Amino acid sequence: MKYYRSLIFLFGLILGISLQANSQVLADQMQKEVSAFKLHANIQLLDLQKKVDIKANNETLKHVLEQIEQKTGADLVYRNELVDKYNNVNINEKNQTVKDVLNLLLKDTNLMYLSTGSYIIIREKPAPMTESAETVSGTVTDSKTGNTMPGVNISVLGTTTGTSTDANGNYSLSVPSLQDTLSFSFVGYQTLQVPISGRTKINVSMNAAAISGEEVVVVGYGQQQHRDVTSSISSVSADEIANEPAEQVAQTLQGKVSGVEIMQNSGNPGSSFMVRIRGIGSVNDKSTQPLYVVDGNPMADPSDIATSQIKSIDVLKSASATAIYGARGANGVVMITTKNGKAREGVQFNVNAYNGVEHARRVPFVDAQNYAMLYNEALTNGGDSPKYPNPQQYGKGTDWQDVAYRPGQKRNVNVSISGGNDASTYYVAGEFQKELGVVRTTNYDRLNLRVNSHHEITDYLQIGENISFSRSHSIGMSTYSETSFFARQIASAPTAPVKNPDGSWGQLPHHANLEAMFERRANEDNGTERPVLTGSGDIELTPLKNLTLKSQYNFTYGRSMSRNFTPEYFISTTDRNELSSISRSESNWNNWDWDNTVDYKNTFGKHNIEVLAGITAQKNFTQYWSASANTLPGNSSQFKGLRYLGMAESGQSVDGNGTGYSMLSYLGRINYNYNDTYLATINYRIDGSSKFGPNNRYGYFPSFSLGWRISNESFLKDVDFINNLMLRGGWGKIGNQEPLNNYAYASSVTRGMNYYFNGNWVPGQAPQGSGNPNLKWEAIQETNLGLSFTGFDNTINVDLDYYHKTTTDMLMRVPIVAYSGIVNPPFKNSGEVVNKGLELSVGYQRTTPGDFYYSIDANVSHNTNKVTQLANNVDALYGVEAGFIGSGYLTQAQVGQPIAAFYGYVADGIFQNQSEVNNHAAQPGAAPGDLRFKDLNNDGQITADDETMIGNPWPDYSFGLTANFSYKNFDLNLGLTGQYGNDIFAAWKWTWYGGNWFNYHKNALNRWTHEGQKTDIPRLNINDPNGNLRASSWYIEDGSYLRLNNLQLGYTLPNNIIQNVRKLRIYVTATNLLTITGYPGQDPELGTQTSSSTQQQPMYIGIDWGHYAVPSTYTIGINIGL
Amino acid sequence: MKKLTLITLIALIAIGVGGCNGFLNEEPQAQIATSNAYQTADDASRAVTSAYYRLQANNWCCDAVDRNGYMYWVIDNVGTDDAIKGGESGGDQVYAQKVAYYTLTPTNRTAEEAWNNLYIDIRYANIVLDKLPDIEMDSDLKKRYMAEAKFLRGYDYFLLVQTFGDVPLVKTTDVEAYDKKRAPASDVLKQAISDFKDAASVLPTKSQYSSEDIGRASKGAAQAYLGKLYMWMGDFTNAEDWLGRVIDSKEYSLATDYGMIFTKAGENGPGSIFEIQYNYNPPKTQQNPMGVVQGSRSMYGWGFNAPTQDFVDEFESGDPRLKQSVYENGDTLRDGRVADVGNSPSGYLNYKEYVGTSEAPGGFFNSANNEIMMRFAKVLLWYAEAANENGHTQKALDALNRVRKRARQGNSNVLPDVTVTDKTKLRKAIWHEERVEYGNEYDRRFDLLRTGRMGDVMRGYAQKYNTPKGANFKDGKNEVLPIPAAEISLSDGKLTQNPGY
Repeated sequence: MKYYRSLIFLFGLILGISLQANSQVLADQMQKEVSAFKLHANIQLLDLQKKVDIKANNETLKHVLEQIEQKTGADLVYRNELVDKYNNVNINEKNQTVKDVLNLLLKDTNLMYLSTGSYIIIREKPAPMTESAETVSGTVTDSKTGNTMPGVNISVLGTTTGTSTDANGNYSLSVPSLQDTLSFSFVGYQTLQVPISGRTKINVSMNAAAISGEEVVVVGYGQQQHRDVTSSISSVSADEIANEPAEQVAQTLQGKVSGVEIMQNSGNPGSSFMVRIRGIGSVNDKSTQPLYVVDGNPMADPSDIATSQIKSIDVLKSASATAIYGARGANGVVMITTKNGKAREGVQFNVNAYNGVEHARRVPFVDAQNYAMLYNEALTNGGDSPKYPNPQQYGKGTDWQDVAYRPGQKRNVNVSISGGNDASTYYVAGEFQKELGVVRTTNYDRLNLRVNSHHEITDYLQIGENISFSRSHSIGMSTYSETSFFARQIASAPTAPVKNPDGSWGQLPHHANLEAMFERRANEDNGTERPVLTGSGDIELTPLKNLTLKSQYNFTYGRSMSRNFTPEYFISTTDRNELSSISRSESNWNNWDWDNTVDYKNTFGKHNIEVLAGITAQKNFTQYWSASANTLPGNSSQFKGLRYLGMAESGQSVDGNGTGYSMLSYLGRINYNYNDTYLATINYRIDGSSKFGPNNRYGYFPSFSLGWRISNESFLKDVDFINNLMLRGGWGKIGNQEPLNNYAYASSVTRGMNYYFNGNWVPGQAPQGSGNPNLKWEAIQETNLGLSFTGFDNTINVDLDYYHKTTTDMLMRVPIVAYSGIVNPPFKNSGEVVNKGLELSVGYQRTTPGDFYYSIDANVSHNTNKVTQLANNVDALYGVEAGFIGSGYLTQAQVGQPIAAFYGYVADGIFQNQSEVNNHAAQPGAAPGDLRFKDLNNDGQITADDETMIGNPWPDYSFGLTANFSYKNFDLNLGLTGQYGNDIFAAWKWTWYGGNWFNYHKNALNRWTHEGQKTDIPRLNINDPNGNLRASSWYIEDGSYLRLNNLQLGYTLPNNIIQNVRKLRIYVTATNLLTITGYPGQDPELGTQTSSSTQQQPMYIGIDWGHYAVPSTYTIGINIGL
Repeated sequence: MKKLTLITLIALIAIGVGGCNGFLNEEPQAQIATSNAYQTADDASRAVTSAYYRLQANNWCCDAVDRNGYMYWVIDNVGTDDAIKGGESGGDQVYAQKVAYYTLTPTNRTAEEAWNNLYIDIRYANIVLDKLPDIEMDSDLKKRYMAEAKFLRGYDYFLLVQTFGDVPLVKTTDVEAYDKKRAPASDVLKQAISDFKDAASVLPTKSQYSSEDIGRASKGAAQAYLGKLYMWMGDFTNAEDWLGRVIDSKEYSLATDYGMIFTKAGENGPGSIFEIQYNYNPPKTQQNPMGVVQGSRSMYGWGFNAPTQDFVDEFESGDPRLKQSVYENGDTLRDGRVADVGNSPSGYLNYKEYVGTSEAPGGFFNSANNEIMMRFAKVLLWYAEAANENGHTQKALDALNRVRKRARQGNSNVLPDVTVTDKTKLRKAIWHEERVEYGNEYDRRFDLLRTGRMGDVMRGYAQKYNTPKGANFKDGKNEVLPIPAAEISLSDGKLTQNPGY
């Protein structure tokens, strides 16, 4: 209910604003033409009326035009071949308007100029009218935005006849014949050839030429043209993520960027993502996450960003690209740029809304009678007596998944208003989304508000700001462990009813009654609220030509507040609570970062140089408090207003702490290119951090990259199909400090080691570990080699990269002998990991004469990960413990093996009869029907020495493909993602193939029962004397998959149907629609567990306990542009 | 104007840089530096408490490293003929089943947690011994604190030897490089003896402690453990001496009601010598999971540690202690509930760990009854055993019959006084009495091992009940647990594995 109200409020707000905007338009309707003309006339004034000094002595026209551009900032657009032939221009004018200068310059040429408002176009004077009776007219629009396009060149193929569109994108052209073909061209857009075919009205929409290499990528503290990038950077534009029902940034990148592995951590609404750029170089969690930089702010959390507000995402992958972020770029940098208004575009009003449903993936469990039969069999085989007499009596029973799941819902509405004039641009946006998870009670909602603006105060002073507020609220469900909700509750015994005929709760043998739990939770009022204010303000000075000074202050101020109320309840004698209780906790963080940079850019003949230097300072501080108490007033379960700590009468408890760190960094970068052919970038960064002791605070991180644009060399210049061919290479060293606690260098005691003496509480404390004052920066050294190719009229582009990345001085807690009594071993610089890989991405896009446009981008990457060294005599670091399975650890990081490789016995089929058991190495407890394990060391017995690496959770290849098709007003977009060659430890086999407390997976019906049976599921035995369920290769499954991640069909209503609407598009989307995989579990897309103090996350990969799988969603949406 | 702006900006940057002096010096927040943590008497108290804190670490299963405990119920009960592992089924807590079946390997959690817990506690005791000498405080209290730490260290090393045999001997916290080898068990025991003796000479008696200090190591506790240690070594002369001192101190007596000993109300009673203390007092509750672990799956628990038929059969007919040690279906329990033992594989559950409704005001998961590690009856019986071995038959009979008299609980028709004087027969009678008096109280393994009976008893049990439990017990191997595999690897091979693992 609350949701609807907020939604209505938001809509009201939008509607109010839009009506106001519209009424303005309506009021001016009569003078529309006039005012539009005036508007543009003003703009023309601005460009054409600018004063300029110009002097040229026998110079090329091109050079003179360039001077005008440089001096006035005017955008002159022309084809080189048109102006190239004028190379002896003489002019000497002082303080003249551009208009006058152009008139002078073009007087004796066959060129003319035309101002569109945005550009001044230099073009050929129209040929004298031929005797032609036919006139073709129409409007040219941008295919994506629906905006009309002024200044588009239109010519009749094979003639000199041509024109340009006017300020409103309209054209009218006399043509020799209606059988001719028109050519539409515009800078930055694909040239379009349209046969007239007898028509007199031809509206066309043009596609931006995404593969031209002209687009800009955002690099650290600046930007660069994509074609000039010599390191490794992948970019995703707003167009590519538009309208995907993506809550989180990472989701929009899935399958779109080579070398980046992205998996959703769970189906919990609002779930975070695991993002690994070029493998992982550490066993520490935090140090495997990339750095997210939003509009230059390096402290933003991706979960607080609305995807609808993103303009572009650039993923900096190689060390030479991330090095400018030094210590923070070790795992790649995701640069996010949010949208801003465009000058002279008029007010743009956009609304996008979608609404959809979600479907859970269900586990095929057996019904009650089969459960009873199988459980009895397991008991009997274990020497116990059967528990369920006459299994048939239980019939189908209860499928607890019916209780757990519901159709989920996903809704989103986002609106934006943007615009600006020459001096100022603005973008104001809001987004509200809500997801009701497929598991009851799980939900997530988030509100994002953003105001971005940019102002040119004077010609040498600019200021800007980006401010975003987000507030989310979530209720999740634990996942990723054998005791999690999933492994446990959905597999409750089907023999128990939800409710007994007398209305009392059905009693389950091993678990709480799920329905009772949900009814209780509905009344519990739990959840986490997260309000975050983040943004930046910047000031930019251009005191001298080519010199820019910039100061940007970034801040993030947020809180994460959890509350939990548990009422008194009685479900059964074992499932009850006699004391109502309430707990509150809050983390709040206050982080700031101040970046000051100086940038100098100049061209000396064929030498182009840009130098950047800067200083950044950053401070992070987080505080935490919590309080809890119990015994609330008796009716607090009905009245929310009673659920306050102060209402509780006993058991008050409080906790709190704080932690912070600061960084000070110096950075420098030189970009150099000679004649656009030989390019070089050199970075140097010095990072200082308070996380290290005073001895080793600073780390020094150099990097460079070189590029050779072979296509500019004379021997390739004439090869037509090559537009751009560049060989790139680089090396860089970057630091990492993320694994460290803030005070890892210092030794401290842990409190809370208390004891009661005869009921008297006495506090205790002791040091659990010790600090290491000699810690220094972890270092990552990476070599990158790449090749970029664009060709065939800019329709194809190919990027190929090879990298070799070595992590040295890995910061980690290296286990030390336990007899030291040290609980937390100190952090140490130790260990070495090597990641090697190859990345290929290929793009192709094309418009065919029949208005059919399509583009396909595909990428594939290959990465290998290997631990090459560990300290302290450690030959393996232990990862995930598997207490339930009864083995020590499922994953290990062993020298010579990948991080988190699976470890265990090698299963070798099933003993079919006693003589097979007898002839095998001694395997205590084994009987026919049990798993046979390999005696790897041939000592005649199966012992721990026979354990070995049994699987690799990392894929050999991961790949993605996006394809966009549009035909007339229809568009179809699809995204595929997948991986190949990774193993999954299907731990759910333990749970659902005989782990005692759980219902059976239907595959368990095929368990071994008699000699000669072909099956890979051993006999059921409640006591498991053979240890069938120990960690072994029996659990290992191939995790390869190919998924149709996103499929969208859209229809844009023709422009002339609705007045005053720039764009109206409706679309339907399905995500997670189809998965091709041999994996027998719920879902091969496994992220990692998101929070646990005891498990090291990177070591928790590829283990599937049967988790909250990512649901499929089906949405319908609408885009409106006014 | 332009220049002015420029100067302003440059000035701003300069301030930014200039203001950075000391920018990176962050004072650690919400932490007490180790260097400041040992200054006052209160600090000393906190240091000692941390060593006690380890006792009530999670002794049931596998928790985070800093919470792990010594799984007494697995090693000392389930690993013997006194109890079957229980739980949902054989696969439930498989590491414990492997201990019960003697199929455990060096990665077994039981061994790992025992090892880790005891050495963490040794470190905390060592910190007390290293740091307290420099703290200015009341010297008597300081001496007592250090004696308490010595008692705890002795307790840990004694348990380590019982569990693993030869183990590394760490006596201070100054050890920078941990490159020790396993010290012979005799050296480790020598250290434990010295620690216990130092403790016994300094610590107050139980009655000298004020009420709020009950639960701390006392003179009597140190003497009792010294006696126990000599029993382990087969040094009956010293055993008789030290256990005799406990008896002669008159500090302890046998509580009249045997059943009461194991209830909340019976905590720290007259016979109590050393108990692991728990208390329910939210939010500072220190709960003892044993109540739930050993409780019935059909009533409130998980049904582990099911007493065996063999244990039940050991009781003489009419012994009132039987129904105070185990319960079965239909028994009316002390809080009036009618017992349902759920799926107990033996049909019995351990009454000594039963928590009555009124004893768990915060629910059974928060039950907090103490765990009695040393009580007077154990001292009397071991004394009797030592006296018999030393030829002091009458003393042996007196001590033994003192226990039987209490056990009789006024019913003169049962449990007649033992009168046999033949050394061997009397030994058997005492062994029998030991088993029934403190069955499932974590000393069955100790008794079987020190008297050399373990292998025969366990294999005999397997044969008699046709079960894998005990069948795999190998003499010369299974007397000790394996050294944790990770530990051997971390020591770069300096630590060797126990034979057979």
